[in-house]
Amino acid sequence: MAFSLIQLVGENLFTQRVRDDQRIAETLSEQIGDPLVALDIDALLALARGVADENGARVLVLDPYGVVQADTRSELSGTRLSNREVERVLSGSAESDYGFYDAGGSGGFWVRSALSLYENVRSMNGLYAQAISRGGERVGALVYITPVQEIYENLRSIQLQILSWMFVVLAMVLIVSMYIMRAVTRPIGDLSEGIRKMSGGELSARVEVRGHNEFSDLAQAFNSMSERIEALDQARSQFVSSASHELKTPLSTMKILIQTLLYQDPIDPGMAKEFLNDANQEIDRLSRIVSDLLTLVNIDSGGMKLNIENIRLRALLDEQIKRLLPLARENGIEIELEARDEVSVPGDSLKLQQVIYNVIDNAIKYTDRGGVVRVQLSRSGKRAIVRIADTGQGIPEKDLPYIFDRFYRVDKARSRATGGTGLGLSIVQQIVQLHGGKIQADSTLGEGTTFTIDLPIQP
Amino acid sequence: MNRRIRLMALLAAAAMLLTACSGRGGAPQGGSSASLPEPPVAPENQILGDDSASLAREITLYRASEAAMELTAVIRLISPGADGNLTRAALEELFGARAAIEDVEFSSGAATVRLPLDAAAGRSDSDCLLLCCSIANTLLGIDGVEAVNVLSGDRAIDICGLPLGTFTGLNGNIPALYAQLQSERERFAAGGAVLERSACLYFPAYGGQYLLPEVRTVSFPDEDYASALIEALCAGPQTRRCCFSFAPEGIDLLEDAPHTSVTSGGERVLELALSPVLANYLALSGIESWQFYGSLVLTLTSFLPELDAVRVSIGGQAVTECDMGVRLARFPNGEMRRTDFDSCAGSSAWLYFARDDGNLVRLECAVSRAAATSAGSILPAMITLGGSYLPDLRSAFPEGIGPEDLLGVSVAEGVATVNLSGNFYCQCQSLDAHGERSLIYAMVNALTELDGIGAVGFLVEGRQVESLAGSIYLRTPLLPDPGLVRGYAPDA
Repeated sequence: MAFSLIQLVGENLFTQRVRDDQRIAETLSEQIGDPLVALDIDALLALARGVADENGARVLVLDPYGVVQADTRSELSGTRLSNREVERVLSGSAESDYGFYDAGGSGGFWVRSALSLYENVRSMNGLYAQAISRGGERVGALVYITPVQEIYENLRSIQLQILSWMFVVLAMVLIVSMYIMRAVTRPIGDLSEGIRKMSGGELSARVEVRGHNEFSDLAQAFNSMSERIEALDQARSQFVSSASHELKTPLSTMKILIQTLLYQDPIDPGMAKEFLNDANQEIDRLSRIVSDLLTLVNIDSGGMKLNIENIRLRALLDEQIKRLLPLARENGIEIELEARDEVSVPGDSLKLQQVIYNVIDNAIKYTDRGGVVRVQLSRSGKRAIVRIADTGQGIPEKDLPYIFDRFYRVDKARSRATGGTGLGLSIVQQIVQLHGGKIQADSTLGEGTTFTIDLPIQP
Repeated sequence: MNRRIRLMALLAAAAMLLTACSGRGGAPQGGSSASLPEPPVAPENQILGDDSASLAREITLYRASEAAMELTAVIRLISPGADGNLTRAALEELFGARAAIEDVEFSSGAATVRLPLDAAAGRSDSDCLLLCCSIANTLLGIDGVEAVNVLSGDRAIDICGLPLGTFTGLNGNIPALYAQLQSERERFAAGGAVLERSACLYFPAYGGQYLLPEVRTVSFPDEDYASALIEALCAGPQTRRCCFSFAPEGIDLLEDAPHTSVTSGGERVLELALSPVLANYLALSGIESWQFYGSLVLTLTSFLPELDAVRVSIGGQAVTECDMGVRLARFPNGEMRRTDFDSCAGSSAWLYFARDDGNLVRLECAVSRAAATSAGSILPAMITLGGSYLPDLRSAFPEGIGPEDLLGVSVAEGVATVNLSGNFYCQCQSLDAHGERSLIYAMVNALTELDGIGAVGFLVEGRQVESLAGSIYLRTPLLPDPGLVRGYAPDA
């Protein structure tokens, strides 16, 4: 469009100049015919110079064969001018014609010119050729030449400016395009690289999050996923390690007992019985561990289905206390139940029984003789609160965050001595969470520990 | 792959951009299938000599009617005679007989007509005036004639006892002119009045060959016309730049007042006693003695009525001979006559010399009377004068070209056709564009200075040629180009 505009303006300017030249050339050609035929060079030159001086132009008078018979600048006299315009006029193809020439190099009019960035036009001239006729006969041609370098320079300047601007715009478009392409492709490339690393096993791979857009959200999601996968992987490793260790311990014990019996000769029946009894206990323990592990696997895989029903918590607590009362008495511990409100919650009765049983059982096991285990049931808004507090040794503060981790034991020796698998609290927490509740532990070393189970009253 | 596509897209965009840049911007283009018409092929025309002299012209003849004291104008188509002298042919047509005219000397615009010695005899002053005006008006109507001097034999004619001088303008009312002359005579005789006349003053011209006339108005306070004329001569030429003064201004050339003596044969001789200083001056200045004496004699005899000869003495020593360059002229009894210096009267022509930039210098030069009016002589004169005319001028003709290489000139319908020799053509082959232009236009401009020639064509050995050296097209006649002429300081 810009170039079309330039061309339009240029053609308008040049056309106007051509019209002016045409008017002058036609008038002069009518006057100059007589002196040309009469070979009156003085009269001919007087007319030509008058017009040339008045208009800052140059006039050539040609005979019918194109030979310059008069030149107001006396440079081309005697030469034969064979421009296209002169040829057309003198051959009779046209009464007049015009063209543009660069007279800069040669001073002549042989180099046709145009507005172009390729050419360095030094002296652009408009050349208007007009037939000179006398009595219907073509007796020569008049060539009227005017400088149009100024028009040409102006147009060229405009053209260069527009072109410069076009290059600037083009460069800017290129830069912006490259920036946009980079902004789009780089995050995708980073993400692709991160995925490739993760698929190669490098779970610690992360992508750089830049800006705040869809790509940054995607990168952030990828990083979150990566972190979770890494954490799961670490947990899995630790779990496998812990489980292996826990499974290996009773097996090792049993192996020692059995080897001891094998090496006895003769076998002492009393010792054999004792050893077999111990082996049996280890088998039981192993069985519990496996059972707990299966429970956890069942929970982790989503395979545990809750049989939801409306459960009256007081009754459930009573029942479990009754189940554990013999054990408490055996250990010299009292169990007190304080139920302020009758609260019912939706839940799986067996699973919630397992929760309450495990927590009270733990409290009994870690409370010294003469201690008390207090079970409280209350309602807080739409939530049922069960607190089970003991007067045991308490849990060190450093261990408190990990007590729900699998196979985590605060006192490993005592735990094993009491037959714990290290999975009880982890199972409790999973079941409570399956019911939409939560469990937390508060403890003061030497004073006791309180477990608070918070369950929603309505699902 | 993406990079390749990007690169190709960029290249395509650049190509489109640059293609758009090469737009015409209003400058129309296009090829031309037309071609220039070719000049008709002229048959071979071996022009030899000069036929320009035979060109007929329309001339107005002023015939005298003595009864009515008036002139009647008649237009006739007149061709120059065999000698190329159109003025003589016109006068012969005017009088209807060759015997009526002894000679017409046409020199630099001034025509001096010598009638037979007895032409004025028996005529009254008014009839003589009528005769002179008839001659003067007829000749002044011819292109190039600016002044007419009428002599009877070698003597100037007087009317009413006063020198008639030189005619420079047409006189239609003869009775009124006659009455004016009578009145002048009375006032001049009474004393106190100054007589003013046009006079032909002859000055030596540069080149050392010719004396050229300059017509000038001279004031005569008394009847000592000779002193006034000599004073005017000493003042030097005023308009003719190709001439110079024969004496330094301020010198009192005359020892005594000139006086006229009458010989035993009845001839009137002007006695001039000149200062001996003059001899030294002539020797030192390099002015030839014949130039000095010729200027004096031609000037005085053209004006002073009834004068037959001039006798010169320098420091009391009578001059009886003079070195004319090619011969020694002897003057019996020291009487120098007009006929002794007739051949020294040349004419002037505008000749063209070359400049290094391809332009020309136009100079008025002294040439023979024939060369000044003849197309066939003007170019040889240019070749002959060439660079010798003035030291810093260069001939437009290349070396190796002589007058003989101009084989002939023909004039028809205002176009002079010059036939050049093969040697001329060959010598021009090494010319550059400037040299060729100088040569061609020196010839064209010089020839078109002549009456009746408006353009010049060229042949080589009678045949048309495209060009001499490639720049100037010669198959059509060329008009002159006055714009090529640049200034020149002849005094240098």
